[in-house]
Amino acid sequence: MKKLIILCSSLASLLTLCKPVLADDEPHWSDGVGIGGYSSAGLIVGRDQPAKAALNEVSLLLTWNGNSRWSFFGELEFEDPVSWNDNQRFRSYHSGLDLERLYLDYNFSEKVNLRVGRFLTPNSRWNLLHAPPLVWTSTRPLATSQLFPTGTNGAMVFGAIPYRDGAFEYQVFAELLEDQEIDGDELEYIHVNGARFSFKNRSDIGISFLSFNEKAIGRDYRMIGLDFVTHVKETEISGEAFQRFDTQNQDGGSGAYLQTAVPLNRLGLNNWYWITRLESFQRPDTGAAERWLVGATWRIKPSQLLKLEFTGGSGNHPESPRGFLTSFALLF
Amino acid sequence: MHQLFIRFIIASTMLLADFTQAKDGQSTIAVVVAEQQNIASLNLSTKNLNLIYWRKQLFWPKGIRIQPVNLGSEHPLRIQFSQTVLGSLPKKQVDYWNGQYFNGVLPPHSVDSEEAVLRYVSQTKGAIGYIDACALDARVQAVLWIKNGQLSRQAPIFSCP
Repeated sequence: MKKLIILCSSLASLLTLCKPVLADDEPHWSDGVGIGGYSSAGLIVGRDQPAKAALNEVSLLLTWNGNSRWSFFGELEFEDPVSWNDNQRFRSYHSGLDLERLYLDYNFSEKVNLRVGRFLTPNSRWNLLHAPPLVWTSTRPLATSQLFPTGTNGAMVFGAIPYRDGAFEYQVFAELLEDQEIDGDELEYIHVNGARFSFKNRSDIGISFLSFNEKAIGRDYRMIGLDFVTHVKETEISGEAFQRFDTQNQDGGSGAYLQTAVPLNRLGLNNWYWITRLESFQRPDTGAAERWLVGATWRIKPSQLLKLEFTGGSGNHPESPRGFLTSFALLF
Repeated sequence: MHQLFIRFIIASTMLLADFTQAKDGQSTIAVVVAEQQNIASLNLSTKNLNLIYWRKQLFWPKGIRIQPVNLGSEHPLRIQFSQTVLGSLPKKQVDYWNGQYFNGVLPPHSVDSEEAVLRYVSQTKGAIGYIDACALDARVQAVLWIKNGQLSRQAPIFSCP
């Protein structure tokens, strides 16, 4: 029933937004509204699980930037709508609607903005840009999804301050409302507070601090994270590292990855990139795991990626399957 | 005397070249807002032009939404502006704008010609754009200048054909 209500309200919104616009129209509340989205589909031939093909998600992005200092953003994701695997043939019963983000922003100045609602926890570069058309690989580094809450319901103050020929950015946030609905494979966190500071210039460098309670094991953690992305000639190099501490300052889990994307133009393969990634990950409850990845990604258009990759390593984590993966992702 | 004359000719030629065009055939660029805009109220500096074109600063101080406008990604003025103000070529900014799109922020509006920039800036509340300094006319006023890869508040010396 809940899904039906969300679907109907989404369709109603779309119909409202699709009204014809005439040149002489008076300003309307729907001016400044934008709709877009992204989607991806892929195939996994895994070492630890049956082969699976799926339309992974269809996400709808809704924005509103009126003529006031208020703005709105929402992301509604239709997860795993169609999938097929060797054992179960076609199925779609795992599919579901998920409200990924929904927030209101108020701009006091470029240095001070207030955000209230559900937003991506801003403590990891990958987490903030996790949409398949924005990342080079089909799989996500374990450390960016299994050590901290990926979304937070609360309030955030953020801004940007010009510094030399770049910009210093900050985000300080706190959870105000616990997650009301948890997906089956999602880790549950409460009492989330944190901050992120980054500097954007030729390279992006960020540092983040987070404190939270992991509900399933009932323990409080503090976490520090570092991330960067830079370019050496044409090669993109990026990485992140996270370290959690419990209340006795003991190791509470950690993880890191280092990734390169090398353009293959010199081999005559325009818009193809050779991808390599090394990952480490450990949690007190699941132990340590490593991953390595090699692959190639074709940027068909700026908004479309075709990815081919092979992943190996130790430890069985369904979130990061080992084997061959391919996927196609697009922004629309 | 003969050598002195040759040096004078060379120096004059170089100076003239500097007056008409910046290095490597680059133009002098004027960053413009509408003619009726009160420039002092914008509090625009060489530093926050960068934030405006990265869409990190979205509002003028009095709460009017900033409407930056770009020329097409292959336009020579866009390339020169982009290298000077944003530190990279437009084609290198694709990842950044895809990421911003994912977070609900669109890149500056893009138009095909300097005349289109002049019309957009003069007719759109809160707009800011850039044109060749020689294309300046009464519809807009220059707030910043780009010459020889430098952004400044002071109008440089330039001449137009």
